[in-house]
Amino acid sequence: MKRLTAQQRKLAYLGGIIVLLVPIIWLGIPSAPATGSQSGDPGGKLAQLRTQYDLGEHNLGDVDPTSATMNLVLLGLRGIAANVLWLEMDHYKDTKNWAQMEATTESIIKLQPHFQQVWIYNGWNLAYNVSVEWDDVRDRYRWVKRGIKFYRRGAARNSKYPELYWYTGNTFGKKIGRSDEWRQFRRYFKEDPDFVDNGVNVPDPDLNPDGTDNYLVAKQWFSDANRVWDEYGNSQHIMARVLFRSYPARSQLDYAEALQREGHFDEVTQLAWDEGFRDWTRDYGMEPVETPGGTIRLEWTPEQIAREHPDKEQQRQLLEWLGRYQNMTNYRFWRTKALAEREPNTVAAHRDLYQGLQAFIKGDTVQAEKLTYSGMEKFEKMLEDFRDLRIEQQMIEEGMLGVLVWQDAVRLNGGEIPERFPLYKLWTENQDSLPQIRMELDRRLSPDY
Amino acid sequence: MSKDPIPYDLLSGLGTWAVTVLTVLVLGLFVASLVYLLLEGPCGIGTVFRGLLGGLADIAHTSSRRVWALTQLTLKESIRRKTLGVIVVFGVCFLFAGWFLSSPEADPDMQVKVYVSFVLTAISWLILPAVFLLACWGLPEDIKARSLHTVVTKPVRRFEVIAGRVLGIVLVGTMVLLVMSGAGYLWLNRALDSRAKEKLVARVPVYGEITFTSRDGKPAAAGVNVGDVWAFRSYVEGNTQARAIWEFPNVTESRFPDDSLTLESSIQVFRTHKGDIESGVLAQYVFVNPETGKSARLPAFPVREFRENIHEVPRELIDDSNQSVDLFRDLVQKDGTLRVEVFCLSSGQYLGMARPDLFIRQPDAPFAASYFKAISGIWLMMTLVIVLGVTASSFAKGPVATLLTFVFLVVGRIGLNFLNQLTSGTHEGGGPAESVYRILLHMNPTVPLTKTPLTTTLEYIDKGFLGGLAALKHVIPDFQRYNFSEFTANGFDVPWDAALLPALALTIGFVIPCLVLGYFSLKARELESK
Repeated sequence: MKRLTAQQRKLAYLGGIIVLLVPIIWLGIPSAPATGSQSGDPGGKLAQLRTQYDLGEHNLGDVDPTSATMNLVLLGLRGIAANVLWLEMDHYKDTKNWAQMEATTESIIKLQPHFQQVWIYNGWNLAYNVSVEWDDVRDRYRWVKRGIKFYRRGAARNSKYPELYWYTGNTFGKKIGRSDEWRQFRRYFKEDPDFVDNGVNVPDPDLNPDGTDNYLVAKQWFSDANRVWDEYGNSQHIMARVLFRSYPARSQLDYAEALQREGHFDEVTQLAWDEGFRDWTRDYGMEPVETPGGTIRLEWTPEQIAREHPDKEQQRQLLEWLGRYQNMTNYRFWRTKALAEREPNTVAAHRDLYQGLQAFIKGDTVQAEKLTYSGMEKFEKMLEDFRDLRIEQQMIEEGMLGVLVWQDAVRLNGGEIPERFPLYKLWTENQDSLPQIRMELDRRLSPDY
Repeated sequence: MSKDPIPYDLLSGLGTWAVTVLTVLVLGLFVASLVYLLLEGPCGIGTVFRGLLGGLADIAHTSSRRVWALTQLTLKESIRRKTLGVIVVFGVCFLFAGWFLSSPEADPDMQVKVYVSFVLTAISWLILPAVFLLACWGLPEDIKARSLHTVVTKPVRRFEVIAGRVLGIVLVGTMVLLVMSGAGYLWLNRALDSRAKEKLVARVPVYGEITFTSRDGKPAAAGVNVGDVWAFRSYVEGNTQARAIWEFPNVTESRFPDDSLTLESSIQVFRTHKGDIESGVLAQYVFVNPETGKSARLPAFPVREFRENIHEVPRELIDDSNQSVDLFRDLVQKDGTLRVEVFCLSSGQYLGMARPDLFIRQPDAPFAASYFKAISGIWLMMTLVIVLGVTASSFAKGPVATLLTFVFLVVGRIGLNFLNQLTSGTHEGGGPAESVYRILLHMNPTVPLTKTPLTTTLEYIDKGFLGGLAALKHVIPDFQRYNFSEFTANGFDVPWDAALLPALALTIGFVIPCLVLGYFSLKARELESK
């Protein structure tokens, strides 16, 4: 080499570069998908191996060019950069610097777009931890929305994995529907404080374009989580499969319950329960569930098992596992509850008890006495018809609260509590829980409730 | 804001500086005398002091013309080394900035915070490495290429070489900084949406001093700790006599000629029960003159957490006995102090406050003023880095000078807090000897050490080490002092007494001894040695 002139040396280098480039280009030819009548190109060896072993970034979900560029530019320093950003994000959170915290979170996900825990942690941070730091309930809702939108982006970026779909649905459902601020959040979901059309608050078009209920949106996301699981076969690591699969149906039941909680006792609520029953028994209940004793379906009865599996030992095993899984998922309770709630008598019982309580809160004790008594009668009939519900805590609490309101109203009206009254058995059998029920009534009577 | 802008005590700073410089000088002379005593015998001490006096005389005869000539030389050299290329990198950063910044649906004030912080951070991160490398590698490269010989053989003093190089690099850095800051300012005005642009303000606050009273109305050292990780704020309990009391100095009619005061607060809320979630927790301002016993209160207001809470206080107020009172005449004390007490009216809820959370808002300064003051902080930091780099390169080779300056930069930027904790004894786990002992015994830092001869010895070793560190920390510049972005990004003007003055004093305080050190180092250096 030393005897070569500078020009000859440069030419030699150029030749070497070209010789090396040829195999690199040949190996790295990108693949092209089939379009219409044209068949696709499998690409070079590297592209083929990438497809064969699902190693390409597109195999994980949407590809974000920004994120890909960042990771390329950082070379091997991605880990260090991500660690520094995590520390910074934590510092900003501690010092309540929300703007910088959110910006740092954005940078973190650029570096770790397919690390699902990053999305899960930060989505939760925004929707739950940051949200409660703000005092104004509208601000809290804005952060919940940010958390949901964050989860949604995470789901798109990891579209072949069910976890982030589930978290999105869970935040739509639980955070909006069950948090301390559920009344405001559910209202804002349909009448967003930041979106006004002709002087009327409308839903956030990005989050709730159809203006529907948060539980129904959650149901859709849970269904998508199940679909993605079925379609791509990628499992989730949140909970047991049998529980995970129940969420779409549970969301429908939660929706029906929320309507009742808000005092809606009309046909819509009845239909919601009806659909909930169908989802629970026909969709979820008929899904095959793998157990150590064999494949079962939660809706199966002992007779069905006996019919389909003549072998006694297998029958015993399947029955045992069916019982275990039904207990695990509280299957029978929800089935009975949905079945009962479809009945006009049950709807009327809830309505009368609810309205009786509202009348009591307003100080109309005469109306409260009348309505709660009527509700107690119907409630007793419901418990007669659906005996399984007698041992369910939720039902016991509702019945006991009704009796307590009625008794208080009777006393305030100058009357005396008769020896026998509807729900008498329930009342005497559950005296242990009376202090809690009294506390609950006091809570509802408080102006803060 | 997450920090308390405490006015800088210049006199105390000057005292510390003088003691540190004198200590370093005495130590330097002692070491030099010792070395020359060994080399030349008793006459060596005379050599040291002659050298010192000669050097000082040399510095006193510095020619500004020659310094300027060397500055121009450095300027040309820096441009030849493509330093201005950093502007291109800066441009590329801004082209793609939108990729990394927050979504447009973010609140306008949050958008402003992120965008302004981004611009100021991008500028300092790009300019510092460029000038840092120039400063650390310039002299060693010249010595290696023997181009410095052509300079020192001319009638220039070594101090002029050092000063010319520092000035030259500062000039290049200033040019680049001006371009970057101008582009950054224009970019901010173009990239932000109209709602966010309205938030580009520079509020001028007048801060007071804060004290607290306990729930029974007695003076307290602080309010209640509600268990927040960040102990910046203290909390007062609602519907009790607990309050936060601010005393604002110099509230005179001449200072506020508009016949009103604007009070702005950023109070935090801590709820112990849900309460009325849609109405907010109520707070109230009460103006009290302890000299006359007169007081007047503003109507209670719901606190808007993390939002602006602005209240116009009219000059005419109604006192507690329903009489009209004049804010300046009746409620301000004779020495011009205005006392504002803040209550929480919601029972069971708490309000969290720190000194900068309530201030009198004077007319806003233009945003550009705050922005360019923040840029001046970067400029001061850049100057100090250049001076440190050139000084280090006057006695060490390029890589060593780079490493040394980098250590100063890193320790001064992120390690000084830890150093302060260590030397003040607030850091759990003791010094290095105690730490090693704890590690070997798997002992938690919070567990007290049992008194044994060994642990006593370890404590003495640590005391010696930490004493050395305590002295050493004075020669490490606190680079956090130059970060004014929090003021600008949060919509405040950069204050002179709490930000600009300490940064300026810090730079001057290091520049003078560093230039002298650089001169003596270069004078003593064997330039023939590569």
